[in-house]
Amino acid sequence: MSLIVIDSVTKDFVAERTVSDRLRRRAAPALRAVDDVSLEVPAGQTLAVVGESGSGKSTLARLLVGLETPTSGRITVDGVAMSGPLTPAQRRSVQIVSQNPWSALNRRRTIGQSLALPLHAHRLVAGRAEGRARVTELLDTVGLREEYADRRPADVSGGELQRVTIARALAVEPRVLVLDEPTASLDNRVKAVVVSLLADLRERLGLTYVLVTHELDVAHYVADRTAVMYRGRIVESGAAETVFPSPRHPYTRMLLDARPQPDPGVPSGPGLPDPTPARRPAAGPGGCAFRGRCPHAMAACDEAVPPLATVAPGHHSACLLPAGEDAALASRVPS
Amino acid sequence: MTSVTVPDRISGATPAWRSRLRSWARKTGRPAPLTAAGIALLVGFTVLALVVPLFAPDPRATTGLPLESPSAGHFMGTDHLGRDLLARTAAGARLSLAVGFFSVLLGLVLAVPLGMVAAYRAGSWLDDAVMRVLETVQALPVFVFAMFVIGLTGTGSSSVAGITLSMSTKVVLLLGISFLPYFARVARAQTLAEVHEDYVGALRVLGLPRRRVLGEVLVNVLPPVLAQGFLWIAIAIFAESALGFLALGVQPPTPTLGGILADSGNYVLVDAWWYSVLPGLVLVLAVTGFNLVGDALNDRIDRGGSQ
Amino acid sequence: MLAFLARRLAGLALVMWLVTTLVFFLLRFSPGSPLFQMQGFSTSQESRDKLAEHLGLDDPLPVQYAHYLGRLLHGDLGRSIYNNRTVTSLITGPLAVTLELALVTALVWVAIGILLGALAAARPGGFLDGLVRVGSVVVVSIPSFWLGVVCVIVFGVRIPGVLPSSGWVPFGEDPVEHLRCLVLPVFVLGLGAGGIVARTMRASLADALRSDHVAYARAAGLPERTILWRVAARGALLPTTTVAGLMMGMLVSGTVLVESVFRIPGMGRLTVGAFAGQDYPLATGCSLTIALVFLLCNLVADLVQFRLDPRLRASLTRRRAGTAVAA
Repeated sequence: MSLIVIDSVTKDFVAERTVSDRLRRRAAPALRAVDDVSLEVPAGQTLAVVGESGSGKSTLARLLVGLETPTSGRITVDGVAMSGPLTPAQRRSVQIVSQNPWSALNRRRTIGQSLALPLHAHRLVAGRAEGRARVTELLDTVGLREEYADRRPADVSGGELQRVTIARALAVEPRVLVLDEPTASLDNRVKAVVVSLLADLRERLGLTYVLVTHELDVAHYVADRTAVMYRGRIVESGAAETVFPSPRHPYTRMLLDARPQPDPGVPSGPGLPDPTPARRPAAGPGGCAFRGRCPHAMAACDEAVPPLATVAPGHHSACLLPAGEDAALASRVPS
Repeated sequence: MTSVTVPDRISGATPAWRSRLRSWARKTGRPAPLTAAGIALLVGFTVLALVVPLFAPDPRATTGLPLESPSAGHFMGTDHLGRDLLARTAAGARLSLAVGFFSVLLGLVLAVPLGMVAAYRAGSWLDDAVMRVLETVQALPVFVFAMFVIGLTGTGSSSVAGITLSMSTKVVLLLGISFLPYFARVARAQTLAEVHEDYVGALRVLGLPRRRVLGEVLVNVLPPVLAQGFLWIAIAIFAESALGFLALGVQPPTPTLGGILADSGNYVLVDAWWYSVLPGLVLVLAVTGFNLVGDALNDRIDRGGSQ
Repeated sequence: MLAFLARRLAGLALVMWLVTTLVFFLLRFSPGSPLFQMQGFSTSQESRDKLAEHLGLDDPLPVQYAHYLGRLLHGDLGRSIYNNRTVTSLITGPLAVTLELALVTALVWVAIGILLGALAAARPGGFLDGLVRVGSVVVVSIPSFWLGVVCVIVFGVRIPGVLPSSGWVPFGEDPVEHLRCLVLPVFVLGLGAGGIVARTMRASLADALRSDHVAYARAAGLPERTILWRVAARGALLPTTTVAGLMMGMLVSGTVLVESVFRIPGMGRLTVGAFAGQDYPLATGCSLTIALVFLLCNLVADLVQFRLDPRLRASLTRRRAGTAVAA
């Protein structure tokens, strides 16, 4: 039994009904951010959810920590539904680290105060002295010196601040960390430090990660399993060591091609053709959401949403393209 | 150079305390000349309101001849009943200061929770209802609103549900309520900006109770609201004196700045210039002080927000 | 434009209804209101009867309220307790006086404020700039009623005969004297508001002068005078009109005080007198009229701003277009 089970979760954001909607007895227009997503994460593993902005991956992160409630479907962590009422201990078990550490910390509090707040709220420490000691310990866990406790967010660099938000999440001794673009606002050198810190913490503390990111290199480095999201749906999922070298879905391939190349000598791939259609409404109801941008779109793609089919053991892809042609295409991808 | 020397008299304080004060002083820097002038005016007004009444003669007692011009015995002269004008002005200043402070405090205490809850439930019927009611109160100028209500309820003390409200309490209540919409709007706008910050979600995920989360938000909402409130003390003092001037405020024999000025209006033709000019100057300088310091506070917070 | 006007008128009607309801219930339930004093000795038997009749005291409350609203809708504000004239007839004359005073004040001081603010912004750090910066704060802090008293001392006692410092001469009687009567009240009433206009104009013009399109105009070789008055001032006028609209509240409050000082027979003096004499029909009539005038002023200010600000118009059109797409 996996620690995290996401079972056919759908999330619609409904605009407020206007007067004219009410007069016409019509529901307000809805936006489907997450569409029938099912995923499992075994304890101690890392699932990376990758996709462009607007793919619904951040909404999935917010659903995982209970900041949003699914429109349908269910998310359980260790058998407990995240959308229901939670005991304090259950509440503590899943924590989030978000993209922008400046926004994630109260700018008028010192780092020490921000770290002590959850400790005292959950009575994890008795008294101020013990709280202070635990704060020092937490800072040490993420590799920061004790003096940082007295600083305010404005006086600390982005990478250090992100380590503070990780320390705060660890303060309540969670089992699962949801990492929502944890390195997107950091420069490359700092990014590497934070990524290796995260990998290290997972080993030391036996954590389970759900990493939401658009940075494929970060996902590749940290993840055991990966899921690719496009317009709210999972289009491909599987073990990281199979999905990254041999992607099956044309969208995954595009993402991999669009990766910035570290070596300027190697020509980069064709990249993502015309990203604007992502904002456009789908070409029509039903059918594959990706067909408007897909170089291999066929007549069959218009008819139904391709189901997530098993293409290899533990590797799923939602594409109608025959496996042979698929493999031929895959060989083009520099690995 | 923005270094500020810490006065010697606090040298008895603990070193940590001193160094914090020193770093605060360094960060705050020397105030701009206009702000410094404003602070000086406020200090002067506070001394007049709080210290002078301790030494001055009884403001209601006749201690001289009617309409004496300023002299060593009566620094600001006497009024038409031979009462010491400095004592009366000081007593009026104390009332003005109290009304200004407490009405703004009342407005803030009511408005901040209201604005925060409205923002926390932005877009809901609750938010809608609160904002509509506040718009209604705001539709009339503060002073006109106060005049209506006092005019209709009379200028004596009133008893509501068994509690007797003195006239000064009524003025405070009225002004506080009429300030409510302005403060609630600032609080709401600040909260709206704040609840989109990631720390609010992070604290909810950490399992903090809602009131603790709102408490964390409050720390960021309060400074701009307080700065706004400071400016409104000036408006409260103006409104209180205007009501007194129209005999719709606190009634004689209690001295009020507005009441003194109204009385003086009857004696301008006998050329008792000090009677109206001096208490009026006190009022002008006090309001100027609050405006200058309030502007400076708002500027500082605006700049702090953009960093 | 029409949709905007309709929305604003509906809002105005709602606020007016709430104000009338507030006045109704304050009259009946507030301690210290005439009904409580009727058991006392303060008012005469005659005035108590008049009041009871005016308020329809024998009816149940909802009926009283309905009658009250119904009569208001017909423009019937009741009769004064003292001289039995209708409130409407008592109000019209003073209302005209107050409107004239407020209008002349607004025109004069908005013009002065814009001119001073623009000249201050044209030479940052110059004498006028400092004067506007400091003066605007001081001037806003001067209570109009005190300034009025000082003017009465100066013009009534120290240098009599230069300007009349008290009273009112109708235009029809003596146009020149009428205008001379206006000078001091207009000065006192508008000084603070003028300070705010000057300050806003200075700040927004300074912003406009730093903007890219002014830099472009300079690069194109337009003379400074043209840049100041034709290019920059255009952008700076919008925030200034917004503030001028907000000024109306200050002027409405101000007339009440200024009329008392200069003994001008306007709405303010009528209202204060009515409250002081506990002439409740007249007092409520005056209150409602002042509220209505104030709300109408705000409406006009909003409409002017709507005409001037293309962004406001665009946002409304966009909203309409938005619904069309959703439909």
